[in-house]
Amino acid sequence: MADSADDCEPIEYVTPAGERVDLTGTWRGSFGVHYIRQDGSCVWWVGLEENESEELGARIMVVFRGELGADFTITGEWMSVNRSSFISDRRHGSVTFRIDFGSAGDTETIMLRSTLADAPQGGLGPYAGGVTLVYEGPLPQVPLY
Amino acid sequence: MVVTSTVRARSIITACVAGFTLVACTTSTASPSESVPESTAPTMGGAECSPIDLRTQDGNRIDLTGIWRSFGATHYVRQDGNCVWWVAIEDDPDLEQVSQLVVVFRGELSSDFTLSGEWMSVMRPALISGSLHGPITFEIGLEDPEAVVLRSTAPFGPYERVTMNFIGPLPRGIEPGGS
Repeated sequence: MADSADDCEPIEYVTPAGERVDLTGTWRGSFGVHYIRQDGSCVWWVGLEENESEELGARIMVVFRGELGADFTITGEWMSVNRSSFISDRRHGSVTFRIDFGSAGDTETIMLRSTLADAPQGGLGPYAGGVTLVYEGPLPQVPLY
Repeated sequence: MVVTSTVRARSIITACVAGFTLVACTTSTASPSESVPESTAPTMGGAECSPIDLRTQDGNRIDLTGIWRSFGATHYVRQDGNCVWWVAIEDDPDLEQVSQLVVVFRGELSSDFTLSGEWMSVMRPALISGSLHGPITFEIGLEDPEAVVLRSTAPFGPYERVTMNFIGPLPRGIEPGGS
């Protein structure tokens, strides 16, 4: 794994249809909404827990930092950065995602499926059990300084 | 519908043969359906956070977990051993949460009272310098044992020569499933 941002290597994926893959965008999984930023081989995201009663990420946010491999996988680490202090059983772990391509009608979609997840402190963590993140669209537009 | 791994792998190989510029095609492991060996575990995985015991001059143990503030953003910091991660969300009441600057960080504490790591701007396309990420080192300032600070000497980005101030512990919430 790259030890610093300077170690992010150029990498280029294409879909089976030949379109370049950039994972940067908004993704959704069972845990919640994920805002993903890809920079070369480096992938970071913040995952905001979604529940019915509170705003996104009000209780739990997950930070992930990983690296794309040439075998269409992302391997990295996640840390639960709770905004509430009571949750202690799924604080961090390592996980590998496989990049999958699918389709919904005529629209090709990209998915990230967790294949290996480890939360050494106990608890399954947000990405255990074959969790799938589905690409929903670009990141929300944000103003520049 | 999800394309099966076999079909997908065949499609990818087809794309490579068709001459697309594809770094992954240059490897011998282009199929995403293959298992990933355990040896790919990250170097700073959860199991590899080492215990560390940093203390103030008064002997109080330093735990950075909590809420911090810097550059107009609230930082939700989690320390586990020598590993430190955080999410910083810009405080701007005029913006929806999902449209605010979000910076994530991971780093490692050292016995010399420094915190070295890297940050990435997740939500904003470009910061002041145009950079999305960078390495960074903070010094833990202990001049006031009641107010530990983190000082950055970063030359650019959101942490350019900033001081982070500890605000307080993470708020207690309602336990999931509790009344």
